[in-house]
Amino acid sequence: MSERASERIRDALHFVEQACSLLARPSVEALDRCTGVLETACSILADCAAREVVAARRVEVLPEVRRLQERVQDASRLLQTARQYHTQWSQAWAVVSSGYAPGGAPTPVRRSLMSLTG
Amino acid sequence: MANILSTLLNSSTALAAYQQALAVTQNNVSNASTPGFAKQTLQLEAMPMDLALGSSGGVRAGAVESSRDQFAEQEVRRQTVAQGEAQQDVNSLTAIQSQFDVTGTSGIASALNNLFQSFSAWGQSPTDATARQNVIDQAGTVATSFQQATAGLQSVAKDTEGQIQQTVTDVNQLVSQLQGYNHQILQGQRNDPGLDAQVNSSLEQLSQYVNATVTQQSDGSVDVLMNGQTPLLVGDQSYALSYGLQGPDPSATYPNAPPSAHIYASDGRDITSKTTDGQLGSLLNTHNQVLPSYLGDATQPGQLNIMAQQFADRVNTLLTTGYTSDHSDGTTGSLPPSGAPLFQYATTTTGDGTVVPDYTNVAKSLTVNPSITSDELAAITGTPTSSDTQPVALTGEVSNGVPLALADLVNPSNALDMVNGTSSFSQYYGQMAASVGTKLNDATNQLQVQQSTLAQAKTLRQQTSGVSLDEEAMVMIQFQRAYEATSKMISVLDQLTQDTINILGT
Repeated sequence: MSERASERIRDALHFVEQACSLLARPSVEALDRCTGVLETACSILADCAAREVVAARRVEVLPEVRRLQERVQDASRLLQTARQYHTQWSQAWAVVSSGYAPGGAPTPVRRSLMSLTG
Repeated sequence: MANILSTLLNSSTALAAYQQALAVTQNNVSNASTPGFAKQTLQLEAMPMDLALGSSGGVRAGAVESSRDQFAEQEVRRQTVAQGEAQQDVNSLTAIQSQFDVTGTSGIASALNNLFQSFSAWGQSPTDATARQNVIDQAGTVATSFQQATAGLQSVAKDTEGQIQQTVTDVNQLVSQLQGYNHQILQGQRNDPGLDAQVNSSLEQLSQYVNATVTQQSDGSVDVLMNGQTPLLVGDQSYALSYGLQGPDPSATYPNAPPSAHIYASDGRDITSKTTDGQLGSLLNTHNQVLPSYLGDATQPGQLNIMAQQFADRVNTLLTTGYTSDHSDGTTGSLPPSGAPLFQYATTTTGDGTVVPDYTNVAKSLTVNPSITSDELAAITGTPTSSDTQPVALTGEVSNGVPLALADLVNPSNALDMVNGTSSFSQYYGQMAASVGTKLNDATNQLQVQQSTLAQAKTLRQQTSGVSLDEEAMVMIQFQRAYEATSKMISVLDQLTQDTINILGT
């Protein structure tokens, strides 16, 4: 029974590692795929069979769950760095396009979903 | 006629401009895999149109602009600094860990186990000469293992010093290269894409070593500061770093401790405490913080020395408070002969003439008392009573009392038999070795994440270089949505994992 739980947790780990790889190349498409991959990892972890074994307190799987937690934290960190990059990048663009507000902060750029050129 | 000529001239200028644009494109393709190269764009400038004055409009070639974005470059360099530091942490801790055997099959752990076993065997046959000699031999192995562990760590310290020196030399060489590039830029080559690639490649290499803050000046040259405040390069003037070792002040608590490594700015200022990032920061941390925690520095004796001294002192105390015979020789005032100390180590004399241990050199100098014989190993415990008539005999004597007390060191219940009164000698060593393992494990995980983060920064640089404002506005909205969705999923997964750990852990 605990072997099955280990197997499921390893499966979840595999998907989280896949998510980390996608987050290392954070295009919009990669992030969309990443959400799907993480959703699969969530459903595996919430899987009834695995939860049963967890409820039976099979501590043998604890190191694997800890490893999974570490990788989830890595994914979270990668997401934060990418998000921070784009936020700062956006601010840099705001300064280029609209300058600074009186308080010194970049002027917010008004964005729309439509872009017309020419 | 003038207008026709003007139009022909205009067409010729436009053709030349487009030819130049093609050349720039060709250059982009050729240099696609050149380190540090960024895509170049030819700006086409509108020419004035005033037919009355003979200006017929059209376009002409403007300056070639690099699509390199300083923000994106800075992010890559920032992650490169962190990666350089993480990589060096792993390298240094791997070298340190190899000096500690956690399996107990060699080194200090094994030598201690063997000595404890020899104490037990001696306790079973306290008068047996072979058992006594075995104690002396095993004590010699313990002393040697402390010396070897110290020598191993000192060798790591020596290697680290060499690496610091080399890193400082590499930093100075890279700054010197950048100085040459700045010179070329100031001579008018600022739009040379090859030169731009070389500048950025050098800056990226420099970031592995130190935290370099780069500012591009309006004349195209780059200024480089280390740790945000120490100038390395300003215009075409470079400022070299230097390195040196500095021993403790004679008035320090431990004046004989190993020297610490220092980095100096070109004006002689000691910038060691500010140099905490990149490969150089990691090397300084290993040399000035990690290794001294074992070998000592001006403020601490070091764990290896603490353990060696307290072990030697405790064994010597137990042996010298025991007796080699259960009665005196019968001469007036004589007492039963006490045992001799088994271990010795280096001592030093303080200003007031007191002899004290040379605290930071105990492990290195630990040896077995060369004059000790097996007959001088005291096995007997008891209390001589001076009111006795001669010969004085021991009261309540235990013929194997000392070996039994020594054998108890393996699993002590008395605080005097523990290091700092809290851990057995084996536990203390185990904790020392385990802490290196934990640090190495953390550093390896950190490196793994840092490699992904650096790869991410490089990808982001590529994605955002040369993006137009229109493109950027659209893409940012899509990114925002994607980030929120991913972030929610990570939160759910994090919570699920924590719940699982809570259930398993309780």
